[in-house]
Amino acid sequence: METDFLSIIKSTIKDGTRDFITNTNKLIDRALDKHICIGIPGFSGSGKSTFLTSLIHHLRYSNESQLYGFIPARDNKILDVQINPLPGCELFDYEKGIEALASNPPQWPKPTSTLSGCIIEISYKRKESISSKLFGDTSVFRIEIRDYPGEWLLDLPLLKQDYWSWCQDQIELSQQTVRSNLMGDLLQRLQTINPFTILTDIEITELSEQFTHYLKQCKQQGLTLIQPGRFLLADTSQTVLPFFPLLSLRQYNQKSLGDADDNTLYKVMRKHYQYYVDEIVLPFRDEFFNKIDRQVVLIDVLKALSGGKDNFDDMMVALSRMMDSYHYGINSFINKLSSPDIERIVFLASKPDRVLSNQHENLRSLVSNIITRVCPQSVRNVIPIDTEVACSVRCTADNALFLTGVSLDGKLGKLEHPLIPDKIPTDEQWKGFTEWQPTELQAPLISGLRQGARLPSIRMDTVLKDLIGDKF
Amino acid sequence: MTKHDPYFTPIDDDSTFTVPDTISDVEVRTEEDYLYLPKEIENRSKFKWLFFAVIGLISSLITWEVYTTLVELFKFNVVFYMLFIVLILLISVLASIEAYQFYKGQQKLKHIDKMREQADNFIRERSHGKSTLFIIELKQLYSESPQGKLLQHVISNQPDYLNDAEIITYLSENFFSHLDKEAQHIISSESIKIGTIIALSPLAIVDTLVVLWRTMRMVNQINGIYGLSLTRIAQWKVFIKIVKATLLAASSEVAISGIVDKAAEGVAGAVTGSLAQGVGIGIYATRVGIESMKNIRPIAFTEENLTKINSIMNIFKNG
Repeated sequence: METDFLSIIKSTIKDGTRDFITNTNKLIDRALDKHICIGIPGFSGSGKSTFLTSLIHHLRYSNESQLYGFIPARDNKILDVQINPLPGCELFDYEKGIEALASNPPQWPKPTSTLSGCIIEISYKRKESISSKLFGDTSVFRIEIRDYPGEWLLDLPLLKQDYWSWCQDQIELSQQTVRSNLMGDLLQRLQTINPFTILTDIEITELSEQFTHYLKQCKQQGLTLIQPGRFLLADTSQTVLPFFPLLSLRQYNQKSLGDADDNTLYKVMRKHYQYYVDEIVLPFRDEFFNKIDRQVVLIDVLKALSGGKDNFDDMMVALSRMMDSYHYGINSFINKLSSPDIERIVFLASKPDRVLSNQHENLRSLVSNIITRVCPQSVRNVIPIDTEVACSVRCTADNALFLTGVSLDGKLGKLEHPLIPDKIPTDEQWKGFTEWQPTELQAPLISGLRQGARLPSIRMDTVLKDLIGDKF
Repeated sequence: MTKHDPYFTPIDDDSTFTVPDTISDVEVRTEEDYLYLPKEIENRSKFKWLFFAVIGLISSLITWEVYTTLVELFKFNVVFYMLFIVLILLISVLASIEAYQFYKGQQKLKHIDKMREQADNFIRERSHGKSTLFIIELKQLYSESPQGKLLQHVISNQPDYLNDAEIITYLSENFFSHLDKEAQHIISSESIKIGTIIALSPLAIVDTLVVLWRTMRMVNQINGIYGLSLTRIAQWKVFIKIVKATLLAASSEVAISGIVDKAAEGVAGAVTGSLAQGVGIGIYATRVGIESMKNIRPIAFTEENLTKINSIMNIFKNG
């Protein structure tokens, strides 16, 4: 008994010391500008896991990666890249991603279903200077990256909403034709339900399951603004209490609803919602988003375009809400050490290999146009914002007039697409996208990928330059 | 009820009325952007006529002198007369070759200016597929020089998805950056040599000749690196800078001599003055070198990669 107690104390002291040393090292590195945290927000299906796998691979094998625009790689200054675990977080499975891409037939890395992260430790040759002569010509730079399911990203706006305002939001959304069609009978049920009524746990769970089913249908339809995110992809390690929006709330007074008994439907829903926000969303935000210095926002604009005007508008609203969830600004020295604001954003139009390269510029302009709508002027005028069109793993060949690629069933095909507008499409332009349903493509077949062969990509050098180019 | 307005005539047209879009893409131009304003055209044209008049007068005088000499030599001795004709022909051929090289060099410089302008436009417009001709011209420019191989290698590795702006940046960062590094080495080593000679030399006339000779040599070497064989005739703008550098050397020598005479009677004062002068002229030579790089590079430096004196200073700090 006594031995057990001593061993517990010993391990506690050991863990505490290790954490203390890690945190102190991290703090010193941050102070010396040798440690940054990069956030990669992107909605489900935008290619976060593939992007992160490719980013690590490009850095790890930078000599073969032809990163002409990223000077440290071009000049062969990157010596070694190690992937280390992030304390308190599952290690991002880079090897598994590469294994999937290297398999035959090649597979895309599996979408993220849980939280993971890593510290990319880059050893590089310093620039020749007095300090390099004093402290040696090798230095280390660390990038902290976390990966998470994109579905959970849309929970962040919930932090600014209480149950009442979330319901008001859902009422607005339910009035959209596409959503009301998907809701079917559930719409009428939620619009007529009395918030003062008392439902059993079974009835609540049943309604919550119906609401979850509707959310999953929204995802299949290509919609983006889907809340709560954990209803789509649950984290098995956490308990989520069932809740759903009451679409009849506008007929009632907020105060009287607040004064109602604790077992009324409104009060139960409010309690479950608040539990979700406080116990699931808030820790997720604090752990994953409060320490971010720089951000790469992945936007699958082509998916939104091919989904039609409703899906595109929905994506814009979701993006706008997501942007509102962060703090942006130039960090002071102290601020940088404690809780930094995001000081640089790269908006990335992902998967541009699905369109001809002569349309990339239009795609970039379109993204810039979207950013002016979703990103407030107070952010755009304060921090550097770059717009890039980049593909982390390229799976098509450009033949000037058409693309060629392999479909998921292994058939080589010719791919064409409507012209990409350089601004948010007009009603007339939307007509050109009604028939366009881009084919799902297979990952490229690359021999020797496990041994470090080059992963074909588009503008990954520019992305790296924009993100970390100033740190070498 | 709305009052009838006689100045408003309804138009019988059912099509939707659209308000023209706000013109928002106009670039804000600074004073430096207005390069085409004809501020000094009048003066320049007068100067041009004066220049041609003087050249014409000198040519007439030379022709007259040659003619009278020939007449005199013919009367004196036919052999001398023939030898003089051969000499005159030889000088004429050499002068023609020189003039032709000058003309060719000027044409090349104009061509490079045009290419730089094109590259700027590509960066601004971010077009696609228009830079093919630019690349062909660049290949031609370096076709017979050792740099051609590097250019060929860089072009063959160029990614296929780049737009014109990205192609220009790619060439600048992967081809011209190599030439920049070489030019920087030359500038730093020449600047150190010039500075050292100035610091050691006690005579103003020696300083002037050294600066003139070494700076001209440096500019020629830089031109060679960027593939332009302007070995005899330097660009006018660069030449002005060379003259300025030379004048500075001479005037600073005179000024320092005066200061040294009055204020520093000891050896230490004279040494400090000479050292300061050497450093000053060295930095000025660096400036001349950088200016010639800017003038000769077919793709203009961006703010990011603009060669700064500091980076060259680093080169010579590190040996």
